[in-house]
Amino acid sequence: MNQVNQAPTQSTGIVVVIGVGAEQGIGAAVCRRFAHEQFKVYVVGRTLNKVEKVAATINAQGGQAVAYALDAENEQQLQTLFEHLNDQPEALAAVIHNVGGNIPSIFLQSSLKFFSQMWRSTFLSAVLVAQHSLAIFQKQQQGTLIFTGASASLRGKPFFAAFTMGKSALRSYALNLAALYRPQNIHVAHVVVDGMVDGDRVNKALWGLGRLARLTRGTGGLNIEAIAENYWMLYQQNVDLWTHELDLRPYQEKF
Amino acid sequence: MAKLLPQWFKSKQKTKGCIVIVGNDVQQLSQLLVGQVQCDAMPVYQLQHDPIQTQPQIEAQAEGLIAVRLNLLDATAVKSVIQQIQKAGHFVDLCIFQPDFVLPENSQPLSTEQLENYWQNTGLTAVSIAQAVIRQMLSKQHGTLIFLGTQQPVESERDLFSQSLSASIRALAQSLAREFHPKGIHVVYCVLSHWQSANHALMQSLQQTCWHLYQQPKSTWSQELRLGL
Repeated sequence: MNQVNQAPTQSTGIVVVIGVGAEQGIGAAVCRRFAHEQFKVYVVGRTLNKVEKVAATINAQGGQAVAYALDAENEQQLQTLFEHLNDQPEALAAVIHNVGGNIPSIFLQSSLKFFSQMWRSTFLSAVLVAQHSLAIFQKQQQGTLIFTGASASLRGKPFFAAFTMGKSALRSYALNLAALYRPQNIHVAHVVVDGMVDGDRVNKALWGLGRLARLTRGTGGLNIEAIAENYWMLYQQNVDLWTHELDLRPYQEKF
Repeated sequence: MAKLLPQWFKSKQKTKGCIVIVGNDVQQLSQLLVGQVQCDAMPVYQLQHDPIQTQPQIEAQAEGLIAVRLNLLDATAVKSVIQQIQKAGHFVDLCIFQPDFVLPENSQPLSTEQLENYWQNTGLTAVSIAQAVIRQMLSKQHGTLIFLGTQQPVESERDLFSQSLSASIRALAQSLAREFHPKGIHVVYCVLSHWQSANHALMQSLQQTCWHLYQQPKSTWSQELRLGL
């Protein structure tokens, strides 16, 4: 199921990024950013081939990455991962949940099964990840948990009813979780990625038409390395000044 | 033209608007609405979710109130109840959805199965009902769909989930409003600080608010409002 690569440098702690796909995606960029700071990064995603590529690139550049394939909606698989993490000598510094893709649909033609699938990937997986992460963070009396949100976390738009239901639930969950766990020195944050992302998911959608759509919007979309820089900033925040929600959008994006 | 004629005749058939209230704890609200619409002779249907009822089961019928139990997640059962309403000469002109925010006590953390059940009883049921009534309302380009929600302080894991599901239904209402307002369907999200069906004053206030929203002219529709916060 998973593959461990030995690393040349000593890590300062473990960072787990769940929901990593293409190398040109938010998850992979966040992995690279934390690896750059000497963290041992668990690159976790559904497709082993993809997470292996991301981990291999990090390892080739002198970082320390572990490729790990799992289904983030599967409680048992998550439990196995977190039991493994709990047994590691390093502290669990941060967990980033980046699961759940945006699939538009016509409301009256969408099946209930589709709505449930979207709810599981956007919300249920986040809850399961949070439950396991918080158990370790509470023992450590510290930790950072970051969730990736979207425009749909704030606004319900036509053709995105299923996605907005999951993402809005996640936002509410994350913000309430932040208030509950702040006194325990656990930093929970929700990042609203409000616009098209300049990554493979958009660029390769509809045989390349996604790239065209992104470019014709005039802003070029959100840069993934810049998004990752904001995750790193959140992790670094001093306990006296924590951000619990951060919105990110290109300068010309309407909102 | 041949296709248009049956539609024209259909639209000229005499059907009467009715109210559909969906939820597990809405008896008080239903009774108050029956009182409100007595002079209009507008029937009130009260739908309650029952996972084992694949065929709609009329539970009680008296004084303008028809209580029906059915599996709200069974598309055939929901379609069947809408057809029965239409056969009775009614069309759904106002639908009020009250999600069931009851979670099991003393269960921390909640299991995947419990969370799935909770989603099905709240968010997914809201989708199922919305699809059925909007389809019917579109034929007349008229109707009001009100989703109720609650907003209370989060003190436990159970509160976390009830608030998350409320946020989910709020987002659904917003998405549907943006899609269906231009087509004549009024979609509203109405949030209360808490749900207390035994609190007569609260239910009366809610009933009056729902009625007010239903009567709003197309030029001046509300999409979201809060009560008692």
